Amino acid sequence: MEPPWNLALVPGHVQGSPWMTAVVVLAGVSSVTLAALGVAVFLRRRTRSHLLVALALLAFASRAAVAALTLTGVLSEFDHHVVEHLLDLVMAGLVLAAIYYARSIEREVGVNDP
Amino acid sequence: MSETRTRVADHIKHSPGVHFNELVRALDLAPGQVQHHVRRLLSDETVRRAEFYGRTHYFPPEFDAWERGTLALVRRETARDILGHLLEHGDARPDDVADDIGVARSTLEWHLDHLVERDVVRKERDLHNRVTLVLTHPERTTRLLDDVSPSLPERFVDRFDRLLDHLVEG
Repeated sequence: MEPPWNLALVPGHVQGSPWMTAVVVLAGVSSVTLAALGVAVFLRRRTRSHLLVALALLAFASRAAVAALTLTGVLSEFDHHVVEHLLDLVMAGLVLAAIYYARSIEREVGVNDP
Repeated sequence: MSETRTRVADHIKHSPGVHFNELVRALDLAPGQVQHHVRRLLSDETVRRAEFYGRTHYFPPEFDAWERGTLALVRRETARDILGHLLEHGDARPDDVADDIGVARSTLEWHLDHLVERDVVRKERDLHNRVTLVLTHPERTTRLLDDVSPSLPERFVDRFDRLLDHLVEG
């Protein structure tokens, strides 16, 4: 999704590129769909792991919003990188926490019951 | 009755247990419009509503309480798979059902909780407290399974749910 760094240094090049806009729009639509699925599944199951996965997918979807803000010139290239890498950190943390709590879902269900 | 109202009533008749958003999508009308016609249909008792798991479902009046609850559940792909297994193979142990339809045990238990709650499936325990799953009303269940099929968004939610359980339970 990131343009090559040398292009990124030429603001006009990035902002005006129709390819970049198309990629951001497609990424936005698919990541928002994915996040909506995550939220729908959390609303069904209501466990901590499902909540964390839904939040991770929301963080993922907000990357497209950050890209859109950068393309429209609201965020600078520098802010863009800081925010996107922060979102990466948040996503990884949420997924790791979801995996950690997954064990307690199994216990609730009682898979080892007779 | 206006033409639009007849369309709404017909859709509910052909797709008993349809929920509000799906009605809006299928008929390609504005939500406010659907709301207006549904309200009229409810007041002259052409249509009944029932709420299950945070969603409002609409039914033709001839469906009883058990059928309404069951119709809300047979819109879920995994619940259909569980019922299909029990119809085909008869009473079964939960582990065998989970293996056969390819879902994690936690996915199966979540669906079973609702199927048991609505009296679609019964859990029978033997002397060693081992569970066997039994269909409460096999013929009526078959008929309701034929009446509806899950929409694309419903299938996606169901499959994503299964996928997540598989990933964490491996």
